[in-house]
Amino acid sequence: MVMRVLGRKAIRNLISLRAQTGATGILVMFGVASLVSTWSAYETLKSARDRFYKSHLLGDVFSEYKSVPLSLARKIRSIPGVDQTLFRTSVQGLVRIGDPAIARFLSVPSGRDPGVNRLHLREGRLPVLGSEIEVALHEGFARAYSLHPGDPLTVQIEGNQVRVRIAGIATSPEFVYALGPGVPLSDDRRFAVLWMPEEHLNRLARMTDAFNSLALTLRHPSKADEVKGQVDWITRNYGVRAAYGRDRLISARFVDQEIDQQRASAIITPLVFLGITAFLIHVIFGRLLNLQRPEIATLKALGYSNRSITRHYLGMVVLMILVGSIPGIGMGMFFGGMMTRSYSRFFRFPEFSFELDPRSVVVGVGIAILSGVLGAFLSLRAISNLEPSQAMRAPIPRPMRHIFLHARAHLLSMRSRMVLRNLFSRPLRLTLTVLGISTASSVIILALSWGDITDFMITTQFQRIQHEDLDVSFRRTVSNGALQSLRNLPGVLEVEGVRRIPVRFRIAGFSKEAMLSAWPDSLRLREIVDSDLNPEPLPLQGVLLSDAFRRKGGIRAGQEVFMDRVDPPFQRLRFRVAGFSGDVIGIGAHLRIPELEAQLNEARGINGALLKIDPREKEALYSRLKDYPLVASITRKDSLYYGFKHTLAAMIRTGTRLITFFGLGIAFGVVYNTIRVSFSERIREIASLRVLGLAEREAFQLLISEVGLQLLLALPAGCFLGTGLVHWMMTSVNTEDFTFPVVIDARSYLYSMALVGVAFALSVASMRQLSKKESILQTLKIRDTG
Amino acid sequence: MGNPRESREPVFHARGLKKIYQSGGVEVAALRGVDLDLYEGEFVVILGPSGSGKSTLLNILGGLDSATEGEVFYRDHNLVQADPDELTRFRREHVGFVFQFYNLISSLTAEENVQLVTEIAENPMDAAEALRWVGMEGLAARFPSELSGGEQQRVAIARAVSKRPDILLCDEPTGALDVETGRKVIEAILKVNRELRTLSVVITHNAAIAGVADRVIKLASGGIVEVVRNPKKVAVSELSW
Repeated sequence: MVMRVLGRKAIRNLISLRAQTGATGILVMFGVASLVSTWSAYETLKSARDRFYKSHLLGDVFSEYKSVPLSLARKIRSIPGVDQTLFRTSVQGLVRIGDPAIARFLSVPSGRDPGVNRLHLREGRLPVLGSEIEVALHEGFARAYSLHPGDPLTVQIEGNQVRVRIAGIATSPEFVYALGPGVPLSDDRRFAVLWMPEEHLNRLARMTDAFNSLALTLRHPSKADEVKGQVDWITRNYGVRAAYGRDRLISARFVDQEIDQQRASAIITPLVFLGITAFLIHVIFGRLLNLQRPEIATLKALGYSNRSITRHYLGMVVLMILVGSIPGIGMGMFFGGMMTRSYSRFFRFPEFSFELDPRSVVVGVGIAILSGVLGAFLSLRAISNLEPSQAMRAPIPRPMRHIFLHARAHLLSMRSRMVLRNLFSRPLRLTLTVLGISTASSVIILALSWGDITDFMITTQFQRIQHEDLDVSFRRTVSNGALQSLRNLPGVLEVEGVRRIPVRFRIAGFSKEAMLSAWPDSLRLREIVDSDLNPEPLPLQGVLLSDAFRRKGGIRAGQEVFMDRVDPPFQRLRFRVAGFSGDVIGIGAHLRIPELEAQLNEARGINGALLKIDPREKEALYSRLKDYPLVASITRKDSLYYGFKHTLAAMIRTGTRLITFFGLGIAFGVVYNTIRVSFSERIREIASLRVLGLAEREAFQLLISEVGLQLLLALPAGCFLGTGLVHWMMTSVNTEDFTFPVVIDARSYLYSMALVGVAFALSVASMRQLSKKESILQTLKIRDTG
Repeated sequence: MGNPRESREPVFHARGLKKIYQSGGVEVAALRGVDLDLYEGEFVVILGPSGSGKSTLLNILGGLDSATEGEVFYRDHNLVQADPDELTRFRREHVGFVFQFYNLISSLTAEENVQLVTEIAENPMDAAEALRWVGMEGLAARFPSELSGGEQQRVAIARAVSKRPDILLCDEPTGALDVETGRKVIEAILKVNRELRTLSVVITHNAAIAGVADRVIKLASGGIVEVVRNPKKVAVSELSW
């Protein structure tokens, strides 16, 4: 009975505090939503990965060779700890569709799933051996060109054009994220994976009784290093010692990186929200309890214990949190679904739909309640110190610090003194409020900076670094004289040759496959830049390495580095590091052609060219070049540019929108609550001022200057905090393939301030309505309840 | 003091004053037709139990509330027809208020609370002088939280009189105070009335205070039931409740 009455009081108090309950509820809602969505998306991604890898037996150890006799397979199978093995043929070729796309051809047993890296069919069936060459095609490429089982394709393997027919559309745990060689981002239109019956592929790749690609699973993961060592020992005479683990598999690494990032945001984002929620609840409850002192004293006088009164107010906190939590769960599911959908555009899992992780709900609501209780705790402690006689007394004026009392303070107007003293008498609250608002604007800056950074990277790459229009690769290495025939084509303005060699860099225990590019001395169509993006001339001797190697491998100029060619003749190259280049997209090394040729034990010459063309002749020239016998593939800068803008933009759009939205949620929650609390605290003073003869507008201005001043402090703090946040974020997300510069456009600062400003203006406008309606009499007569 | 009603124009002149509140669909009449004249230099106590309409009457006189019916003139200004801006100006220029719960601005010292008024008034006294008036000159630099209830109320009176108001309206000024402190507060109000010749109206449910008034107006159920002229005023020191 007793608690029933108090329970009713709790609900009525909450209703009378509905504006703040609402604003706090919004924060709790965003906090719970951010945890539920990011955590569940993390779990969804992780369990999709684990399930797929397990059910389709992703290899634990991989290795690539030029050619290894199948007779060694038995030895490898019998290495202790090895479970399933796959000895296959793997070659790179082209699919002739649109712009020719680079293709990875992999052999599979006819009509049967391989023992390792099994395929998951989306449509059709596995390819079988027959008169027609059948293939299974990777889902990403099939979707990009709307290809289906039964469709024919023209492919090129080892220089031979072959007609094949699609038997099935598939994905594989090995290619969840399908990334072509030498590019940093997946582009489904430019890279295909095709699985072909081994008999056909071995014939086309001229592989007899041999394999050049190995994948195996282990009985126990702890055996990985041992098994890798044994594999390298057994195959020591057949190419590069290169057995590597799942952690070096490109697709697996991308998926893992994304999962790590998702986990980081599943921890950080909710912490920010719930921290702010705790602070707001502290402020709101501090105020509520202060206003309720007479009521608390009365309850005590009636014989209620400290414990039952504390329980009553804690119940209010929990109710307040629940009000926001429940829609927060729904919102979290919605956002989580959005994130999952945006992932499914890049990651090809068999089943990949958002699953609400019940733990995220329990943890989210639990942390929210905990933060609320923690926030209310300090205020609630005051309850036990209250004397029942308090009920008889007049409201106690707030204690003030003795500041702005000296003679010079009188230069300040009376109203300024009021504003300043009110603010600085509660330094903790001032700090927390400023921190709250600045966090909101910093989060918005972080979200917007993603756009600035990718814009900057794209602009740098396509306007600063790449000056060519077409990047052509040849079928074979040719002499410089071959460039003349390109120069003679109508529409070609300028041509420069390049020799590119795919290599595996081995630097300080870290190995990475990338491109070694040799340029002519007179290079004009490419600009090599240093890490500050200043022009960096090609060194007379040695190589320029991507700056990422310096950051990751700790290598210095003057040191020697090794690179193993991953194409025939699999030679090991050795260079002195002359300096570092600031490659924004992709990594590799640059040097002069003569410097490379000095080490090559094969034909000199070039295997590609950069072309500057007359835009009017673009299409005609392009279709002519496609049929040019020497040309293997053509990369158009304009379509690459489009692809980048498109892919990167899509990758960051969802995240950016969500974070901006969350930032706005924080901004509104903090700003509205700050104004609302100040308004409620000052309402008597505002009424008193009006009695003394101040107009409502003048009295309201006082309140607004107080909150406005906090906003003014918070905005520059937010820019500062935002810049720091972007720096921190970029260092933590720099990958091997991307170097994210810290770029924040002035507009992003302005937008973030403007958005917080909008939250402020809306809050002020709604408060002004309240202020106008406020009756001086009611305010002075009744002790504030709202 | 003679007979003010015959010798000069009233400061306030109210006729047929009605105030009806809508409360949950029910009409509650706080004032049911009050006729009243108040004169310069008078000390008037309005007595009545709670709910008698005395606060409503005071608030309408002070321009904090509006009448539903009837007329109220402050000299030749019709308060019933005045808009909010005119009422703000009226309060700023002519009225001093004292409330039961002081209503000082917590972020301003005692002196600054008074300056708040002297800054916007036309012919104010010095803030220090106003504090001297109520015997608070020694505590000018204290914040309200550092003052007792009686001290806060005396600062509130200093603040109200510092503009040399034509009218001092006090709503239960001793309501939250003990007898000794209450006497000091009444003493301060009397001093203002005596030395500045300010029309002072004190509403209270405490009949003891009526002894110091020139006139006592008794209210019940929204109407004046009795007007008593004190033939001999009691000294403040003799008041007790």
